[in-house]
Amino acid sequence: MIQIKDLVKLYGSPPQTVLNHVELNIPQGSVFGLLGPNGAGKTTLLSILLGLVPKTGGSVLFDGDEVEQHLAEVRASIGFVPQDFAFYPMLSARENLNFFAAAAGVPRALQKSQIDFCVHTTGLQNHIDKRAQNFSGGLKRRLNLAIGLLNQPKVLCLDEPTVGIDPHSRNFILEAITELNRQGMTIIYTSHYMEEVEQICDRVAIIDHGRILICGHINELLKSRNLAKLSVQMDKPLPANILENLRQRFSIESINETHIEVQTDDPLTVINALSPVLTEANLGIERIHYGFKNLEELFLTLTHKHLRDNADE
Amino acid sequence: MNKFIALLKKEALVLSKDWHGLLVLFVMPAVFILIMSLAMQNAFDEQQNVIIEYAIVNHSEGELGDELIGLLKADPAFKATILDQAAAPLNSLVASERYKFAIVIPEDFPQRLAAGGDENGAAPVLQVLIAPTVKSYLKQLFVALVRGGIVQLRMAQLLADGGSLPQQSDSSESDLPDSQNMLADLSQVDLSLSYVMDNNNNNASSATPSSVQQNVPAWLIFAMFFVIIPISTAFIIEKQQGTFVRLRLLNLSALHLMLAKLAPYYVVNLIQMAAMIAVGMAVVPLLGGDRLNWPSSAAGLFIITSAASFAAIGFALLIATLAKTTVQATTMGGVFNIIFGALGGIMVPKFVMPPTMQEITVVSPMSWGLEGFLDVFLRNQPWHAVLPESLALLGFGVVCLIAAIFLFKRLV
Repeated sequence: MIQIKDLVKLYGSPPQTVLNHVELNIPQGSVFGLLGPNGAGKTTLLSILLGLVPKTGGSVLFDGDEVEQHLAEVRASIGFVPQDFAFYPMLSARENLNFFAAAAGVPRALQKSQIDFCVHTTGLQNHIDKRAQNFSGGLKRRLNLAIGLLNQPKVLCLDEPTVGIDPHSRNFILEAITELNRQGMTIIYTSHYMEEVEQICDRVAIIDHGRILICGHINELLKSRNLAKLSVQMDKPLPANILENLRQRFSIESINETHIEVQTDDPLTVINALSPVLTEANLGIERIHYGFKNLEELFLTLTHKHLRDNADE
Repeated sequence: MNKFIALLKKEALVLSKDWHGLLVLFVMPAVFILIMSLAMQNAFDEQQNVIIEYAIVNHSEGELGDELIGLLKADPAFKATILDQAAAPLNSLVASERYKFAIVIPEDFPQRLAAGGDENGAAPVLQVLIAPTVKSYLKQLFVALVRGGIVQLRMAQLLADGGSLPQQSDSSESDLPDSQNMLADLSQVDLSLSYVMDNNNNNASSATPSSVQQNVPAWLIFAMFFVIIPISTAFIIEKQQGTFVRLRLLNLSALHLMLAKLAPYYVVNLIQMAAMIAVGMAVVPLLGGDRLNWPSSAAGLFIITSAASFAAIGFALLIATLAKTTVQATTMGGVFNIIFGALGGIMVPKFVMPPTMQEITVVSPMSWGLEGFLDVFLRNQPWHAVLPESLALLGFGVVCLIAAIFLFKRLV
């Protein structure tokens, strides 16, 4: 559905590379997570996709059409839910939806049914005539989402749609997004909450310094062999001489008296080599894990940054 | 088109819910008009206790010239300064309002005095130069003073000559006129009265407004420019919250977004105009002030109001685009408005400013608007008299709007 090829974006003078030969493929019907620390290039990438910022080089195709050359059609097919509450707080939810539906060019005859669909999807039925400025954070997020759905988009771009809201509203929004995807909508999702991304996305891309570091199905990425670690937890502390022995034999990522982490793409060989050493020292293995425990760990390994920490920068 | 109508409706809806902003736009100028019109009423009644300075250049060699000067000097309300004949050109001294009046006593003053200056082509007795901003009643007072002096001299001359009066040759009733005819003829003194203008001025613009004539248009235009507060506040919230990005993604152009903001605030400005005129015509007199007269041209009033509104909204949009926060916008807007107001003759009436400051007022768009309003409220000019000021305001508005759209495209 969306193909990004060799995308380059330079900003400023002297020019600084914000996007560096980015390649991405977002298939139709996927829930695509875009992750990266602040300043990594996520916003620029989304802005180019939405035609808000011109690219320096490469191509961005939407359904096979170059975005810049078919801007109006592409925009009509994309719904955008920004991180900010991009609506009019003085107006009621209904007044906001009426305005944005008309501004989106929804035919008058269809406006009511489309607004009803958005209200139902986001659960705003009981709040429709209240002023948006009196909404809780969760209701504001839901209204933000509802407005993004008004033009019946093929692709919905969500930028941190659950920041600062209660767990109930968060679950409601995540379920709504999952349901929209089930109905065929392609989702592009950026968030600092890794567990959310793991929960709803089937594919992710991690971007840093304008480069795509990794991209693919979440499950595959977590087992990514060339980056994965073997983690072994012992039942007793390792003697000092054995610790030194292991350090010399393996590519040890970290080690302490009861725990060893080895970066390897051949965990079986490492276990086979480790086993006699531990038997000789009369040590038992309490737990073994291969691969990444979660997305956060993968992210940390790739960028050497905690994504959650960046959220506050 | 439907999208643009949706934008217009939204702007009107947002504005209608901003009661605080609307209240400021109407209450602030109404209060200013009431306070300033009433507080400055006496000040505008042309400085009752102020001594008016005038100059005299005496080309006459005889005693009569000196006698006239002596008589004029006796009036304590006016202060005479005798200028040397070689002094700076009298016209420029009066035009620049160094002196409100000047009297030129001609070389043949005794002969002219005897002839009385007449309707049959005889030269006027003397020349009186009048500064452009002198109010008509003050002019009448001064001219009466001069005429009084001349009449006294002629009386003395007649009495000394044994009673022969000028223009009595056709009298068939009596060789000696009765005292009534004599006095009537004496009062027929022909003076050459000339208003001395700056090159850029004309007769009409020399009129000075009353307190209410000054304050209603002045504070109206000041309030019109104050739409900068609600416009920029709403605009910056839209900018900061990403609403503009959302609207751009709905394929709404910067021009559409800007133009949609013009219409509702234009209506607000028109209502402000009607409300402030009503205050000047109905409320100020109730509180003891002068009543604002009906404008000489409703069309002229509409044109200058529309042009001023366009300029004010265009300027507000430019500031709103430039500012990053509402605090910045309200500070910038407030400061510019006060500077425009101070320079433009809003806070200090232009006619009490020194000439240099009066020239500087042309830099302020509020001054253009005020002059346009004064054309119809004070100078009784027809509708087309406001066109120069209106075009200037429209030009200012267009430049601001184009700059705002250009910046908007770059920054949003």
